[in-house]
Amino acid sequence: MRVTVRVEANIRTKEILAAGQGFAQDFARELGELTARYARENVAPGVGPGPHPHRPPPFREHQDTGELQRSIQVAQEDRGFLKTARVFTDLEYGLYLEAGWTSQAGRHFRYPWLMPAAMQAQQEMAGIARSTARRWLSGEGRTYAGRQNVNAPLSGTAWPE
Amino acid sequence: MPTQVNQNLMLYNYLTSVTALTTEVGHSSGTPRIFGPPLGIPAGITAPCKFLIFGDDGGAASPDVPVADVRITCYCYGATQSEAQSVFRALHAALHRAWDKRITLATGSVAVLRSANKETGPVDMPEPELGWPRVVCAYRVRFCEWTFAS
Repeated sequence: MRVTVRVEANIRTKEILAAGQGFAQDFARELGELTARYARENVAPGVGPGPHPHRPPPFREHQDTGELQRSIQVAQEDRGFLKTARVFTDLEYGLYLEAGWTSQAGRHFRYPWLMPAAMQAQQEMAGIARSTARRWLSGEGRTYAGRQNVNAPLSGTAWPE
Repeated sequence: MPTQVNQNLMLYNYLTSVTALTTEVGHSSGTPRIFGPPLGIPAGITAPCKFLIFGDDGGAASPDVPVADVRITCYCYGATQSEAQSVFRALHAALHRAWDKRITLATGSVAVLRSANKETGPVDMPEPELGWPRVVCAYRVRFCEWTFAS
């Protein structure tokens, strides 16, 4: 026989459900925006692959305009239980930079810029999760999230188990 | 001491042991059509045909579980885009949801492919300069970090 205090979190309550979903969507958005920031740094003019890499001077018809950097976007998606942020570009050569291509001379070129950005952002996941959780799940300043109810006195009940 | 198996060799040995895939690309010891790193058209291939190249993109190590989790990018080529897609389908059948595959290495020891899943693709991406038809995809492959004596 033992004495037990049972702590229950009812995840079906509207408050906890809303706070949890808000946390998840906000967390995905922050990670997505961090990924986009690192991706823009990876392809910044002067940092990224620059003019067509296997065209030595004096060829200058390919200029590093920064168009890829400007084209990187973040979009949020709510796919039911999957709270998602997508980081993408509509420029086709962004895909070729990421996956690689082979030149006429037989050399293979590849400049992954998006996946390394995602991996770098993932390393900061714990800190982002902490700050996002503090905003959504703490009771500071909010009357509807993180509410605790004590429905029974802590002393006096010995329930056989 | 932590170890890391040669995952490219393990994956190569596994893919070349799948009869359906080797038949699809026409791979044999005298006519290789499945290639590991480095990326790029292999020296012996001078015209578009069915072949497969895979490259290792690495992945995070697990501090507690002795399983190496790596991302493999695969490039499926063909004489036409349709052929490249059929190479992809054969690769997908061999690799997607593969589970607990025992791979015997030349030394006689046994490596274990724990699981493999498609992560992204297939994407139709012809070589922009050569014009060769190509399909690109990536798989997440998990190996046991060490091999076992047979």
